[in-house]
Parts: sequence; C-alpha cells; structure tokens
Amino acid sequence: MTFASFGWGALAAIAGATALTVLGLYLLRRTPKPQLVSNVTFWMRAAQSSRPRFLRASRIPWLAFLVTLLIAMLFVTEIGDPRFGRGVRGTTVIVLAAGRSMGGTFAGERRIDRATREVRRWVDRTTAGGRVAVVRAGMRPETLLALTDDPADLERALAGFELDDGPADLDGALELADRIVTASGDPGQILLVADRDVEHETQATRVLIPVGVPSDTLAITDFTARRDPLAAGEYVAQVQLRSFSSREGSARLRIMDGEVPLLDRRVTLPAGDGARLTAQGFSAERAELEARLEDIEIAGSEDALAVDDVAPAVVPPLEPLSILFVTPGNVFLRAALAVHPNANVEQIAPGDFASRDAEALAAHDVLVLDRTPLPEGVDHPSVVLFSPTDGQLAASGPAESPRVTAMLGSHPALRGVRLDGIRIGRSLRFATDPGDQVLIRSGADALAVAREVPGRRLVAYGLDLSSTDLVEREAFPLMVHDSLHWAAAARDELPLPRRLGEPLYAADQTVLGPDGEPVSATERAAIRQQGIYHVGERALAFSGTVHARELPSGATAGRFRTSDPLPPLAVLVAAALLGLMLLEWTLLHRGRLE
Amino acid sequence: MSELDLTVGWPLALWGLLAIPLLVLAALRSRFPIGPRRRWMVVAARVLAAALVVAAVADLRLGWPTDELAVASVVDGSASVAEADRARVREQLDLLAAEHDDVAWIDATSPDARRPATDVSVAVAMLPRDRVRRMVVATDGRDRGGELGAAIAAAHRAGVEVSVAPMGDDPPVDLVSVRGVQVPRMVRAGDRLDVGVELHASQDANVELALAIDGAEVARSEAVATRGDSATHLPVRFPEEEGVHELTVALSAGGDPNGENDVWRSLVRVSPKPRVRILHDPENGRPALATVLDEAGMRVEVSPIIGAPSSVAELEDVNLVIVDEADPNDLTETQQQALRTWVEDEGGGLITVTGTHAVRRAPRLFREIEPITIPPAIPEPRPLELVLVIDRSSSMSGIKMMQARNAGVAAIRALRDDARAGVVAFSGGADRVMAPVGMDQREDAVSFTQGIHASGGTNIGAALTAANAVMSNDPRYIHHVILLSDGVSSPEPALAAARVLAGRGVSISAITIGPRNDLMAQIAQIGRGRYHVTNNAGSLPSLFVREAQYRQPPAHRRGTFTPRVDTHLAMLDGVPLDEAPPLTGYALSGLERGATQVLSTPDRRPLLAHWHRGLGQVATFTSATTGSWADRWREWRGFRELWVAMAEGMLRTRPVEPPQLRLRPHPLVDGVQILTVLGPTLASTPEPIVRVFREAGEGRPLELIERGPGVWQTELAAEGGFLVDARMPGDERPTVAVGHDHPYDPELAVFGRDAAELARLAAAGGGRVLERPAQLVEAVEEEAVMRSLRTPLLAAALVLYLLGLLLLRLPDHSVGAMVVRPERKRRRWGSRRRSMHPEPPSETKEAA
Repeated sequence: MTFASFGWGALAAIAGATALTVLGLYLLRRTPKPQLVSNVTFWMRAAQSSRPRFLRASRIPWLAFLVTLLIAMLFVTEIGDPRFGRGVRGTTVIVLAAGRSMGGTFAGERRIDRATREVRRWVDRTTAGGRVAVVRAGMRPETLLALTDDPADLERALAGFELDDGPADLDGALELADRIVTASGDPGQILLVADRDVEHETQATRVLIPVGVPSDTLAITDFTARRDPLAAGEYVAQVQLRSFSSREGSARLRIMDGEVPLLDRRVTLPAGDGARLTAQGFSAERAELEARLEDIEIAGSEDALAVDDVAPAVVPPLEPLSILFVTPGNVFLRAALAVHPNANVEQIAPGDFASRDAEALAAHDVLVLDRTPLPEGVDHPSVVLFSPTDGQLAASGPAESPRVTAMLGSHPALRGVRLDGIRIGRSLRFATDPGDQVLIRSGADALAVAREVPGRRLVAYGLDLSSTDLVEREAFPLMVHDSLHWAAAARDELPLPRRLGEPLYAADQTVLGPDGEPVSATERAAIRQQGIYHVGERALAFSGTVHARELPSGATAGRFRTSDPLPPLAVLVAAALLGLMLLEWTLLHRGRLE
Repeated sequence: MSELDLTVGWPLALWGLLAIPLLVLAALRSRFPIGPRRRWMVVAARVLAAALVVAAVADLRLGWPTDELAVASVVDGSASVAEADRARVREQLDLLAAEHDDVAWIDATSPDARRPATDVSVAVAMLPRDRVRRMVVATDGRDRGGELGAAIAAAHRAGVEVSVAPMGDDPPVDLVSVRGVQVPRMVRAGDRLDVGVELHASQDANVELALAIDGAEVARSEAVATRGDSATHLPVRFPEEEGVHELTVALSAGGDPNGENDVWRSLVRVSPKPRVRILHDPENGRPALATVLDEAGMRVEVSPIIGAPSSVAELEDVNLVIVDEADPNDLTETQQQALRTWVEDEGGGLITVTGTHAVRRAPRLFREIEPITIPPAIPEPRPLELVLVIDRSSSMSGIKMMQARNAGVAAIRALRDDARAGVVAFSGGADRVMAPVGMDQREDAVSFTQGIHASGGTNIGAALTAANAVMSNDPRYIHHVILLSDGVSSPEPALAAARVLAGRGVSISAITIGPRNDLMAQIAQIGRGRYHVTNNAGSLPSLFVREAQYRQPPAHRRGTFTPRVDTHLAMLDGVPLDEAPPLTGYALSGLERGATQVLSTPDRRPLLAHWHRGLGQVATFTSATTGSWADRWREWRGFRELWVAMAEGMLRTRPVEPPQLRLRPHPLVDGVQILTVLGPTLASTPEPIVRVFREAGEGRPLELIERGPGVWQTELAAEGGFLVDARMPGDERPTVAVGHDHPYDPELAVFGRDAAELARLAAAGGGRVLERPAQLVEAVEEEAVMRSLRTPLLAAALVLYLLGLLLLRLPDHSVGAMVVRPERKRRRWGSRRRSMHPEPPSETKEAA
C-alpha cells in the first residue's frame, strides 16, 4: 500500500495525535449511567456527588475505545489517500485507444468499458508516486488528461467520452505520449490500452495492456448511392457486406429512405465471404439513405460490433438549375436558356445585378451574364459570360469578322457542337491565363475561354450574338446547354459518402449533426461520428464503412485480465470508515459498547 | 467569484449519503446517557462527518478564482519558416518570460519536431490545471492538412486559450519558388502548348525560367515574380514519342537563398500521333497524301484497296481512312460494311478521293456513306427510237397488266415529237408486234398498247429477238429497249438476244415487277442500261418516261479549271484556298442532300464535299491527289495545309465516354492521395483500366476497389508525385489523365504569413492574433480553477468525528447523576428490551 497525499512519517504523526486525542477523550469523566440502588446507597451517592470532581474518569470502556481508535485511524488512512501497490515513480502516459473497434462487445461488455477500467486502475496506481497523463487515441490523437497526480481528474476527463467511428491513430498517439514523457523531464513509461499493438519505436518504455478477445462481426463495408448519369432523377443504392467471422452468419439488411424501405432482405454470408446488393429503380428529388443490418445471427457466436452495422448515404438533390440571367435584352440567349431542361431562370437587368450581394448570388447555381461584367471579388462557383468587357475574364479587345479556325470540341462545354461555316460579324478576344482553355480560336485570338480553378468554373464567349448566324443554328442552344452543364458541375461532388476525418466547411451556416444537434466549429474541423449532417438544406453523409475490417483480438502481446480490478483502495477505506462509523454509532446507542 | 462553484467528479459516490438517515435512525431512543440536546448535537456532528467523507470520495471540487497565469509556447518548426525568424520569436518569448516571473512558462516546442500540432497537444498535457492556461503558437499559418487547426481546436476544448503569433516574414525563408505548373496531363504528340508556371515570391524578383522535357531544355524565358502569387507561361512543343514524359521547370533568381523549391517536376502523358490508313491502287504509285501526312506527324500506313480491313476490330487503332484514287468496286461487301460501321458507329473519319473513277451507285454500301451521289442524268440530244417489250403472260393479269398498259401509254405520250415508238407484247412468243412508228402515229401506238391482254407463258428471248427485228438501223436515232417482265424465262436465249441487241448499239433497260431477278439484271447489264425492281406498278410510268428521255452522263470531265470556294469549313480555316492553282479534271457527281459543298467545279458540281455520318464524318474529293489532274496542286503550298487540316479535322472521335478521375488528399493519412474513378455509367463492368506512373516510362496497373455503382477508389502515396491515366476497355489508349506533383517539401512551396489562416487558427483556439508578445500576459481575467477539497473535507470530517466523541464523553450536567430507586415489580414480556429512556421519574429523585 502506498499513500499518495502524505508520507509515512507525516501520516504516523497524524495518526499518533489522533490516537492520543481519542485516548484523551475516553479519559474524560463521562455522564454516569443511571443505576438502580437502595435508598441508603442513593443517599450516600447523593452525598458523594456533592463533592468536587475531576474532569477525568478512572475507568475506560476498552471496547468502545478500540472501535473509536480504529475509526480514527481509518480517517487518517483516508486522509493519506491510500493506494494499492507500491506506486509508480515519474511520469506515466496512458494511451487509450478510442477507435471504432473499441466498441466491440464480449459478454455484454464493450472493449472501451474494460479499457477505461484498466485506465482507472493504472491511474490510481501511478498517481501514488508520480504523475499521469492520458492520450486519447482516436482518429486524431489528443491529450485527454493533462499531467496530474490526482486520480479523480480522470473521471472528469472521461465525462462525455465517446469513441470515434473511425480508426485509432495509435502511431500518432504513441508519438504524442512519447513527447509528453520527454517534455515532463521525469523518467516515465507509456501504457497502451488498446485492442491491438503497433510497431512504433518510443524512447520511453512502452507496455501494452491488451483488451478484447477474438470476435465475429458482419459489417457493411460500403454503402453508396449514385444518380444514373443516363437517367435524370433515378438513382441506385449499392451496399457491400462482408463477414469477418469464421462461421456462417445471416442478417436482415434494410435500406431506408427515411421511413420508406427501399430494400428489406435477409442475407446469408458464408464465413469470410462478401455480398453486394443493389436497390435500383428509384427516382427522387433527394434522398437520405441508411443501410442497417438487423437481427444478426452468427452460428455459435454473436455480432460484436454495432458501428459497422449501419451506414449512411445521400442522394444529392435533383434541384432545378437556378440561373440568374443578367442581360440588357437578348432574345436568342433567352430562348436558348428556355429550352434548357430542368432550369429556373431569373432574368434581371444589369443595373439590378450590381445591387445583389454575394449571399443573393449564391442562391443561384449559375450566373449567365450577357454583356455584363463580373466584378472582381465575386467568387461565384459557376459563371457563363457573354461579351464581358470588364471585370473578371474581361476581353482584351475586339476582333472584326473573325473566322473560327479551331474549336476545342473535346471540351465538355462544346460537346457535340459544330461551328462549321458559322459567320461572325464581331467578337471580343480574350487574353488567357495559364490553365485557361481556349474553346474557340480565330487564328491567334481566343474567342471563347474556359477557366477552372478549385471550386470555380467560368466560361466566357466573346461572340457578339447580334452579329452571328450561330444563334440561328441548332448548335447555339446546345452550346449554351453544354456550357451551363459544365459550369454548374463545379459544385458536383463525388457520389460517395465523405470519409470520417474530413473537415466540414460551412462558412457561417449552422451544421446539424446526425442527432439533430448543432455541431460546433471545432468538431467540424474533423468529423468523427458517421451519419448524415445538414448544412442548411444540404445533406452530407460521413461514413466509416471504408474502415470496416476484422476486429483485432487484443491478444498480440501482454495479457488479458479476466478478473475485474478492485475499486480504488481509498474508496474501500472510505466505505469501511462509513460502515464502521455506522456500526459504532448503532452499538453505542444500543448500549453495547459500555 | 460571486457564486459558489462546486462540482462533483464521481456522482456515483453520493449514494454513500444513504448512511446519514441510518445514523439518525440509530440515534433514536438511544440508551446512551446524555440529554436530548447533547444527543442531537452529537448526531449532527456525526452526520456531518459522514457527509464530508462521502463528499471527499465523490471528488467534490470548488471553483477557486485565480488570475495566476500559465503559458505554454509552441514555435512552428516547419520548413516554411526561417530559422532566424524562429530565433527572433524565441528571444521575444524569453524576454517576456523574464519580465513576468510570476507566470508559469512552458516551452512545448520539440527540438527536432516539425509538426507543431503535436507540440500543441504536448503543451495541453504540460500546462498546470490550477492556473489560467494560455498558449501561444508562433506560426506562419500554413496549416497543411488541417492538423494544426484540429490540435488547436482540441486544446481549446480542453480549456486552454490559444493565441497565435505571426511568423514567416521577418525574414522570409526564401525569395521565390516555383509552386506549381499548369499543364494538361494529356497532350498529343507534337502539340505546341503554353505551359503555365506559378510562382511565389516574398518580394518582387526577376527570374529566369527554363523548361525541360525528359532532361532536354525546350524553352527558356524571363519573367517577374511579383510579391505573393504570380504566373507566367512558356510555349512548349511536346515530343513525338508516345508515353509519359517528365516536364521540369527550373527557376533561377539572384539572391534566392533556397534552391530546393526552384525546380518543379511534373509528369505528362503524350498521346500517340494519329494513325492514318490509306487504301490506294498500287498502279498509281505511292500516294502523295502519304508523304504529306507523314511529314505532318501522323503515322501513315499505305495498303492496296483490296487489302482493306474486313472488320471493325482491324480499324480499332486507326483514326482516319483515306481511299485514295482507288476503285471502290474492289471492296468486298464485308470490307464496305466494316468501313461503314467504323464510321457510323465508332466515329471514324473517312476521306475518299475519286481520281478518274466514275461515281456510280455501286458499290452501294460504300457509296451510301459518301457525301456525293451519282451525277444527275442528262437530256438526250438525239431523238429516241424506243421499243417497249411488255410481258403479257398470265401472271401479269389484273392490276399489273393495267399498270403496264398505262405505263406504256404514258411513255409513248412523253416522247418528243421526233421520236419513234414500237411495242412488242409477248407471252410464250412475241405474239403481238408493232414496228416503231413516228409520233404522227402516236395514237396508233397508244391504241396498240391499250389492247394488250394477259395470257400464256413467258419467253423473253423471243420478245427481244422480235424487238431486234423491228428496231431500225437509222443512226439519227438512239435505240433503246425497255423490257418489262415479272416472270422467269429460259436464260440462254434471252441473254443471246440481249447480246445481239447490244451489239447493234441498242441499250436495254429492264424492269421487274416483284422480287429481284438475276436474268433481268444481266440483260440490263449487257444492254448498258438500268435495272429496276419494283412492287408498285403504279410507279412504272414515271420510270418509263425517265428511261426514255435521259441518259447517263460521262464518268468524268477533263479540262483545266479553278475550284470555287462555296462554304467555309472551320477545319480548313487558314488554308489559302483562294490561291489554289487549277486542276485538270474531275469526276462527275452530285451532292447528297444534307452534305456541305466546300469546293465546287465551274459547273457547280462537288469538288470537295463533307458531311457527318453517324458518329463519324466523311469527305469526298472528286479530283486527284496523286494523278496527273493534280500535278499543279501538288506544287501549291496550300496542298499540304489543305490535306493536313482535313486529316486533323476528321480524326476519329472517341466513341466511348471516358471515365472521370478525381484526386483528393486523404483526410487521416498525411502524404496520401485518394483517387476516385467514376465510370460513365452505373455499370460495374467493364471496369476502367487505370495505370500509375511515378516517372517517365512504364507505369503499373492500379488495383481499384469498387466503392459504388460505377465508382472505384484507391490510395496513392503522394511522395515524389505521380500521374494516373485511365481508359475504358472500349478505348485503345488512355483517354483521361490526372496527376499530383510533389517535387519538394510542400512546406517550401509558399511562405510568408497567411493572415487569413492565422485568424482562423486563433478563432479555433478561442484566442487572437497577437500583434505583440506582451498581449499574451495582458488582460488576465479571473478564472475559476477547480481545486480538490478531498483532504480538507476528510480532515474536517475527522475533527467533527472527534468533536462528536467529545460531546459524548463530556459529562452532561443536564442529566446529572442518574441514581434511581428500584421500581415496582412490573415484569412483562420483553421487559429486557424496554427503552433505555427512563420512565418519567415518579420515584426518581435527582441529586441536588
């Protein structure tokens, strides 16, 4: 046993003083107990009690004295903050794995629960003679408990502790732990409490405290929804399952769009095998999907991990393309925009455009500016310009009666467009920047340019639409359509759920997590819980399915404790103290100790 | 602190407070000899002691106001910050620490670590928890991967206020760097492009740029790198060799202290030259176009037309086919079909040059994809002596016979006045014959025709012999026979009679009502006439008239002429067609409906015609390129430009939608890029073929993991950079490429403070961007530091316990000497357990 608060000498002094105090108290002449006596004795005693008396007693009730002394000593012991064992000197940094696999269960207990009990035990032990810090080894390692010698700090640090749905970065956590040991200036050690070990060299001594036993799990290893590029509105949801078990298992797979089931099927997976299921033929403006494995049955075993039984996916909204058409009047362009399928066109005059702020512009998917400059500083992601004389992507000068000498037919903005033999009366020419793609060229002059920078796509045409026969050809609406499609695709996202650990940029918008609660800015720096997040009207799925794999057994090194550790010694002493106080109190008042 | 701030660390322990009511219960009806007042005082002390023990075990803590400060400092050790800048900041922090010795200072900067994010986490672990905790992170804000931001956010969550001290400009780590190259990842062999070079400079600097491909310098330029980011470009002609090439941009600038970031390396995939296959007539010698296109950088293969590909697969790698002055009748039907399918379904480009070969309807499959057609028939100048040979066999009875009669009448009426017309009606023999008569007897011929009725068999030979007999030898007339039959006849006599007629210069056209008949076709071929197959007898009159009034034009026309430019074709822009010298002949043809006539002859016939056919396009030149008609053209400077422009404009388009490639940094693993491949459809098969190249030369195939319908992913180490190309199995060669460059430590690409990022980091840490270090220790507000009450609580509990003991042990004078006289006998059950409280002392007397 070790005392954390005081040394043995100090405690002995306190105990001695306390014992003497107790002894002194017992030497006090206490209130006499009522006695039955004869009348003669009564009067004799009455005569005696009238004499002067000392404040001490000549007889001590030894049983009561010993009990009281024991209680007093327990007080002193508790003040001394007793711990089991001999304690650990120096600095101890405990690395607590907080990855998804730590949610694995065995006999109804999660690995992380056992791990935290181990951490408590080790913190209790190590703080007796030194300091301890705890590093949380989630997807991004962080200090969970700063260096302390108070084991009670751990409970506060563990308040609200949650596992990440992604993998634990044990290497990074060990590196951080090693740095803490080094920075503390004391000799130290690192305790890795995890369900797996890693090959990582540390300067400080490292000990693995393994948790977890071999377990089986059926997992969703991928869940994706993708719109059919060849069919507007339709989407396909595909789920991949895998058995990480040496036995055959089966589960009920459900794919839900809110409350609407898209697929409900019982799937049987042979040992170690996988399956791919597809739900298709659905058409929706948007969908928030969830794949879930339920009623999992594994022969002679049970599914040990719940986090890999659910996966989210989002079908991006099939919203009409919102186009802000700024023009002083152009019947051809208006007609070309009108034939664009799935487009909402708002037409305004150039004078009104200047009054629109960035937020108002952001409400539109594409800006189509006809003879209207795109001011510097407006960073709308999708812009199609016609004859811009000023602002961004402004023309550098006029070109009279240019002939189309080349066109970049392979560019998506001109897919299928043929400009053979078109007549152009006037046009503007552009000075290109590196990275610009010249869509239409007349000799050395660029008559149309496409610019793509991260997050932005701009197309600019210099053709004067009032002096070309292009507008009368079927190529014109096709060109406008293709340009809109390409420019708007700057907002296209991968048809895959995002990976855990990615940041979620939301500017000033409120982000709601999978539980519907707002997500703080610091949590958005790296999303750690899978589910569907909402940024305004936009839904984003974060999924950890890519991390689904066999559960590590934790038995790669060290040992696995099968017995629960005892509670901290101080708690046991406190419990004994309270019990003894209660016992003494009861016996005292029942008259059994005198 | 105006309010008592108490927190409980282990609320579970508060269950121990259940001991308190037990203590109170035990004190009821006590036998201990003290008075009630004293007894309740003891109970209170004992209860309080127990409660304090429970509170101590439950980790009761008190918020203790303090303004004592603890500050941890982290200095960014990344390569984007100059060592002198770091020393300056350290000196300032040391000075600040010396001035404020009441502050607990912790330097969490690791001596060798270049990851400030780890240092921030270490600082969180080292800061004492009984003080106001602050941290300063001296950095330039270049937070690659967001690690530092995440660490600062975590520190803020742990209760540490994190501010940032700007670094990076005093002095900057470098003068100028090449921070990127803008170049398409896939270019065509021999392409000339502007390569954009992105520069970053800490101040304006004159730089010299040299661009090399595979180590050989190909361009050099001077530019001014302005402070911050700027860009310039270098014109580059890419090599002819197909494959992945290394493009290197090297920068040199006076006074640039760090040369590591002056070289950028990028990989570019060069697609092969277009492959052109020329089918020609070997008797014409090597085609002139072969030389022209070869010199223009195309891979040209020349083969006889009889060796034309007979399947689309053989044309898989071909971008353009030219049939150069070869007779297309030499193509088999299979070869024609292969060419046609390749053009229409695979987007192939086809150029045909007729040379002296006539434009006829045959070969049909080939001719139908050309933008030209046979030349229109021309009016016959001489009068016609026409003999109508009409089958009146029993199979012609009914509507057919009536239509045949009407057709014959219409033909006779359509003849010019100087013509002659005769009629032979036949069945088993030529049983009704009318010798040709002049148009003054037109009505007789009409009456004769209208009197034909169906009966009997079919004998074409006898009918033609009869026609031969009645046909005159007058050279002022052209002699023509129109044979109409639906039956089958003995071929030998019929063919023999046709040959006799043809030998006399009589042309024979044949019309079959019903299915095609080989005998009738052979008769028309022998008679140099045309053969019609029809099921609609109603259409016969117009056919008869046409056959009677027109004749076929000649195959070609010789003579010097200058081509006319009819329509501007974009692909030919820049070709000086106005300066074109004369040609000396052309094949006669007509323009197909929907085709574009680019060049024409003086008689407005097509010289160069073009149209889109299916996914591909076809152009036909009706003169020559190799033959003598083009002798002067070949010497013209525009000859080469014309045919190179034509060839480049008509190269095969891609028939298969290409996959899309997207690269993203791995969110959890530094230095890893995630490659996503999106198929053009939702189908998982076929899977795109993807390769990765780490350097110029051969690449290796990438194994993809299917992540969704038509979506695949894989991970690639970013170190050293790479290029990835992809194609669908339907494509012969890669159709798309992306790349990631990593020529040097990315920390050195851009330098100097990033004010926006610094503000973001400070916001994440709940602090601010420090304008001067002293702000770090200013405006310290009192904070409640949670201090443990365990030891004081336990000590107080011990004191209370002892106090309670004292109250127990001290004599209670309110009770006095409790001497009691014996009671009366009141024996009853359970008297032994009677209350310890004495009965009201009816017989008790207290001592004085």
